[in-house]
Amino acid sequence: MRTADVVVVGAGPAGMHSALAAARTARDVVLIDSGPAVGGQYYRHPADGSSLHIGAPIDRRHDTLVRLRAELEASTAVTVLPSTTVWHAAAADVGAVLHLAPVGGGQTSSLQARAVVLAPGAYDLALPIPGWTLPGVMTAGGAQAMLKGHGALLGRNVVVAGTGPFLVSVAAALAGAGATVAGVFEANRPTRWARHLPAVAVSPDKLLEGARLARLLRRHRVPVHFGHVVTQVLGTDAVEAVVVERSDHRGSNRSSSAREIAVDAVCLGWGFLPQVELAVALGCDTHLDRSGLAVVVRVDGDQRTSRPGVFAAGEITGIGGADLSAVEGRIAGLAAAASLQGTPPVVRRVTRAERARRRHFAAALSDAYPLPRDWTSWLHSDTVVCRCEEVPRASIDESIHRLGASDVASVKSLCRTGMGYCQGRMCDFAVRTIVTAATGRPASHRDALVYRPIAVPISIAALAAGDAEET
Amino acid sequence: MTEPSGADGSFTFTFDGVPVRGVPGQAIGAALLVAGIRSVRRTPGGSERGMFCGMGVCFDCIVLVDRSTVRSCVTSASPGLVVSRLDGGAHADR
Amino acid sequence: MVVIGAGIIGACCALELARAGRSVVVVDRGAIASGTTRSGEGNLLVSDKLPGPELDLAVASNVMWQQLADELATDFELEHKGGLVVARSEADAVALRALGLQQQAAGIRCEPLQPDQLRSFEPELTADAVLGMSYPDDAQVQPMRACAAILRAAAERGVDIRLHAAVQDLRRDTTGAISGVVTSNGTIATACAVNATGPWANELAALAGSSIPVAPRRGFVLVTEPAAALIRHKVYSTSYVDDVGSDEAGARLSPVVEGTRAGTILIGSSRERIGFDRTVDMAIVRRMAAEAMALFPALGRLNIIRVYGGFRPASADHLPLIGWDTRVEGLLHATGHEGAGIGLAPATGQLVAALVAGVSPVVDPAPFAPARFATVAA
Repeated sequence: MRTADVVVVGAGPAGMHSALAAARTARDVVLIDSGPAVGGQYYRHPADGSSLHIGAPIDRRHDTLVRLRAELEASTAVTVLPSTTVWHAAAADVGAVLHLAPVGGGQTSSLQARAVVLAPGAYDLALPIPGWTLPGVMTAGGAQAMLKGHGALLGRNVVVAGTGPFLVSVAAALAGAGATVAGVFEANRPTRWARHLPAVAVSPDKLLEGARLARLLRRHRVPVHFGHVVTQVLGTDAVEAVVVERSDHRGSNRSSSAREIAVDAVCLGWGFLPQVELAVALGCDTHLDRSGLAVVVRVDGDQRTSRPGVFAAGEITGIGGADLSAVEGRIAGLAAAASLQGTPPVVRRVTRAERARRRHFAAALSDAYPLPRDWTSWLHSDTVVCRCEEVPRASIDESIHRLGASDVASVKSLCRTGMGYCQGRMCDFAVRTIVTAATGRPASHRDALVYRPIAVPISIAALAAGDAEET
Repeated sequence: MTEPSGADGSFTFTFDGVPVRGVPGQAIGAALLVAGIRSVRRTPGGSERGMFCGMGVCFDCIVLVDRSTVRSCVTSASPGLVVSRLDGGAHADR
Repeated sequence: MVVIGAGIIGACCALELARAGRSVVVVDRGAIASGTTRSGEGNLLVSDKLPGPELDLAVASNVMWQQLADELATDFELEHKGGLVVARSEADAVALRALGLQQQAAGIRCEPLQPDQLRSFEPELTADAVLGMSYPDDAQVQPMRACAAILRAAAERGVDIRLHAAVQDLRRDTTGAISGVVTSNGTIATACAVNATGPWANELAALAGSSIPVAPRRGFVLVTEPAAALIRHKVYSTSYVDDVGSDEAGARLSPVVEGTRAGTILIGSSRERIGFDRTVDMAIVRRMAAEAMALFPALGRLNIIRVYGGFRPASADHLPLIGWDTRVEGLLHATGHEGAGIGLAPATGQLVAALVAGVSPVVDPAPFAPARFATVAA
């Protein structure tokens, strides 16, 4: 089995910074990503010179990416493994053994990491609503990935709905690429920021970014409706319209305000959930984040997890965006490399201060854009909650009220929510919300924690064939 | 069979026998979106599905390539690739 | 009466006790069926059992399962899918034929299938199968739904089900007999406690100062993506029967493959004595995948989407323990069913109810009595 000093899983902002920081002292650093190139979701981009670039670039991210990529290429210590998935991670006394497979299938291999940095990033938190399984409905992050990475627009006439500043970013990108954005429907109101002015004051770059995106939306004549939610998607075999309603902060809709808007596509973004499965498989301690939405990995000041030689950086430690991920990545990389010598990392005070400032801002962001509290009232009894197994709300209710399910796990095994392809990544949060509302037992870390030893599906042939011989 | 490439490196592959234009590095699902194909499979329950999460997590956009299911949002298209729709479960014997 | 454990054994005990007119409380530290029941495939098998007391219990149970399916309001997906045991060498075929003859003598329906018959019976089966033995009476239920349905029926007969209440102590009177069950949610006074805690049964017995030879035997199950109608029966290799009866601590593997109503294919089986460690061992998973593919080569193209582990309650002699504790009056055990607990549950419940009432049960209780392990007089 191949051995490496430091293996970084995920080549987004946290992972790239991690690998570069580790490479300052470690000699053999491996950076793994499932994408065809480094960058992750945040720096999603087509290859240089590709005809997939459509619309004008909307930010300066690309410059940063080019710089990071050049540094990675220049580093003799870093090996990048693109288009590679880590489908399983096994604990070791120190570090971990990572089980790898090519994206799209093929022979597996294993990599022994003396130290590992987990920086796998996040995916969109999706809330089920009637019609959300129709072709033409996408998550906001997915729509952005398709546009920026693959030159594909999900529709011509689009609404963007949910909550958070990311909606504006996606709407601006879609409009810039030629889509008509019929509106951005933001569930919350900007007045929620009032109580977080100190956090904003120490992150002025965020304020400027927001102002720039707002200008872009105005230029494309995209209206932003605060305090509005999309409660239903209409259509038979694809999206034909959405139902938009006014919402107070509790999510209780005033259905008298409901109106239909004819569109051919919908982007829904309610925030992000970290990919914690590898950390859970390694036995790292986790906890529920401050919003109670997501299980995140517990780390100390040097980004160490509870497992020796296992570090974590970026969204996996708590959703906080690219800038926080980058600084956490730098510290994690330094710490992982230092751990090889058995020493603590030398981290500049200004770096730690930046992390604190970014965390402060992330917390303010999370408070300013809460989920509507009564969103489950938008579900009809026949609304599919688990997309994979096509389980309607009514089956979940039956499991709880008729069959005696008292927690998420018993609902799952009674009506198959979360048992399909995505293993609950899309519906676990929704099911947990429905169960806790029905039973009155508060959402617990234990309910939210899911052990998924197979992080990405793997073919039986690949399992049976065993790992590639060492060369 | 390898299709002739366009000036921009574009090529064709097929989806249920229909030619679709792809560009190097482009995911199958993205090429289908550009071609106006948004529904890529039918579930065992009979409903149409297309791309949803767009980053390989939800598996809604799975299609059949070489008799196995792949996520069309993260699997690159290539010249002459034969892609087909899933109708119901994944048939390993098809 | 207090039944400890809201899994399939506890549920069946509670229902049968309620039917016999007892006042019953069921307690569990977790949700319904949160232990072994949830991890099982829901097998109701006769094919893997040699003639003897366990087969008698299985036959009695299968009759009761059909009655439950007819009586209960909740569908728990009872399916007579049929079992197929496959021999892939001449030696295995000889043993399989002998097993079939023994089972037929005990009244079990089974039919040998030659390779040409196997091709239509189970089309994707490996071409190197030498002999198959078909068991039309092998069946399956969805174990969680079955357990929930039975508990609901019990509740309708007045059984009090208290979940998320962990048993902390078994209280005893001055004579040493059971007098109460102490839970995290209060104490329940009772002179009789039924230990239906599966692989945790010895830990529970210890609370009363007793001990029984029941320990966890870990198994993994691999779950594929949905694949319509690829595999029709529950299919396993002849080595499975040997594995069930083995006493090795190390991993024993034999391929067991079956399709489910949801379209997913379940792949077993592994057996290890390794305590309550749920961490998936990928080396074992890989061997299981290889064994399954040897039985069904077409499986290779399918993806595994999930692997999970569970713990079978294994007794020292592979027979369940159903009966009174030899040391503690009022403590009744119903555990040790290893991987057959779903199948054996209804008759176990009936046996327990009969023992409590002091009447004679459907099957002879003697072979299951915990007393068989009491070599030293208590």
